[in-house]
Amino acid sequence: MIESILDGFLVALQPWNIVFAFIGALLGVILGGMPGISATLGIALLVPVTFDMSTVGALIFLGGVYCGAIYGGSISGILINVPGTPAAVASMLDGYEMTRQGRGGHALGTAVAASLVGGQIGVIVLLFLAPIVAMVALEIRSAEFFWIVVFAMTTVGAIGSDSALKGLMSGMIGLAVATVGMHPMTGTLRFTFGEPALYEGIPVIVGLVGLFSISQVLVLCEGQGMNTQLKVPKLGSMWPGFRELNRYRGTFFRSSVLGTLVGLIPGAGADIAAFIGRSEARRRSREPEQYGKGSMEAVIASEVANNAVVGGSLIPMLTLGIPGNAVTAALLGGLLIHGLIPGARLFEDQGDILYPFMVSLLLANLFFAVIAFSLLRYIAKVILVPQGIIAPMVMALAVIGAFSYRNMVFDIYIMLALGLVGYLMRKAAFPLAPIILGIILGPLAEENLDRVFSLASAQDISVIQYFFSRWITIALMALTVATIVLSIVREVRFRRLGQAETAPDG
Amino acid sequence: MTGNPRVLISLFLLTAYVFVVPVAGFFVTTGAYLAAHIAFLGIRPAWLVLAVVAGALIFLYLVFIQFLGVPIPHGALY
Repeated sequence: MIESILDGFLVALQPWNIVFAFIGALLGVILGGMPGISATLGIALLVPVTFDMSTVGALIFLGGVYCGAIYGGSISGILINVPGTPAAVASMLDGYEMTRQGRGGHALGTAVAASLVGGQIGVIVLLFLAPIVAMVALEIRSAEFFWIVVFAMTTVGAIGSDSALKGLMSGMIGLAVATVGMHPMTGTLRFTFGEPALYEGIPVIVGLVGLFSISQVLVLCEGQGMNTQLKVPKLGSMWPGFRELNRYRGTFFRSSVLGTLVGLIPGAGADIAAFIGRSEARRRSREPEQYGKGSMEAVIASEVANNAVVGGSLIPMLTLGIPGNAVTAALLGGLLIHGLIPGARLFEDQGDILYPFMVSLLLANLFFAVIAFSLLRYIAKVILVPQGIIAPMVMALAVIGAFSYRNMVFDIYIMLALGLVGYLMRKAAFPLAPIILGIILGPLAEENLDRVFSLASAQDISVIQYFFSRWITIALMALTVATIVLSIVREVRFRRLGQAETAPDG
Repeated sequence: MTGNPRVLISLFLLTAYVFVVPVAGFFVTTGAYLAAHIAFLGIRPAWLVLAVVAGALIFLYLVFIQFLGVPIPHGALY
């Protein structure tokens, strides 16, 4: 394992790969910093840029975007009280308060330091835990894999949204979209309406760009296109001082662990991690009354946690091929384009690609910290780019992205149609992450279920009997049922309290 | 739908853009679309709109055609 990590360093430190990591982190910070562009959208828009890159280079580039964008989201939250990504809402509460007190520079610097520490610890956990999980994952057979997909989709649907029903419905819509095209085993054509462009199904990248970009373009068109009132506040010095940061070393540590763990759970993304990190730190804090009034500790707790999610969330994605949230789904969409098939064997077969990728995240984290400390005064201006310019630009990039994957005009139409569907669903408070998960995982679930059917008939038993003959599948089925029951209980309790929990997607 | 006229007109612009691209070609259509949509969303003055459109077209051309060689929908007018 150590040799693999060292080999990973050798590849990640090749000049071009360093450049990819740097540009990825830079673009991530800039896109994440623009209000209205989340990490998911940033990756979806930049996947076409990677078409001609090597697989390693593309992954390193997109990984850099992921790290940079999660950090970048905090800039506009702290400076103008508009979160750049949903993950930045928690750190905004105190970060913006600090800016109002004239400590904006310190708030930004604290966020950089916290993001760096959280990000690095998450990646280190990833480096050492992923190979172990991958070894266990090798034992997974079709029946288990099918139920892992069902379990993951259930948790993403049930945890990641206000309403478990709406989340699960979104997942089913995604699975339905995934049935379009050729049957994975028999080759039968389904729902293609004689259109050759649909024979291979709806490409993941087209679904991704449509659902996330186009729906966001329409959301951005709702409000004022230009706000002339905004300006970047005075920053002052950025480095909060080592001694000041050292006072909160306990918070750094606890939030890193929490964030990584939350990242592991399908359904809970950086936004939820940040809130959990913040409330846990508040519970243990010596000065809980400062929270919400510009507490540096609160900024640290939330920013550490949301960046630690990056490493944690990549563990199920890389070892099982199962993304637990929208960002990793977008990243997996980028992987698919380069011929990496998600599944339990990904780690085994593609270790020479995955190790350099994981190691490069350490570089990407360093790069965004360097970029932030040296150039933030200039980069901070991106928060002023009006939505009236961002929205049409996103649209133009989306058209390139949808078209260039297969050079098919038809894909642009699919993208627009899915975008409209995505917009209407968002307006009705349906989460989008389960749909894209369904589109990615649908074919895998179907293929494995088909194999289970043949295995069962070979043993002359029904599929149900086959499922119940293996204890791992029984455990996964129990977990799936438990997730649904728990989410219903949670929802009923919240309704009794008469308050709605807010859980934005992303 | 939402009844928000800004969204409805924006949706109309997106649809028009998507259907004209394969006919007229990417750069011509994108230029016209960007100018129309940016101006519609309230960006003023006019020279700012034109500067943004020109900058965007040059940027897209350099990055996607020159540097990356990504295929782009062609039409009658390039």
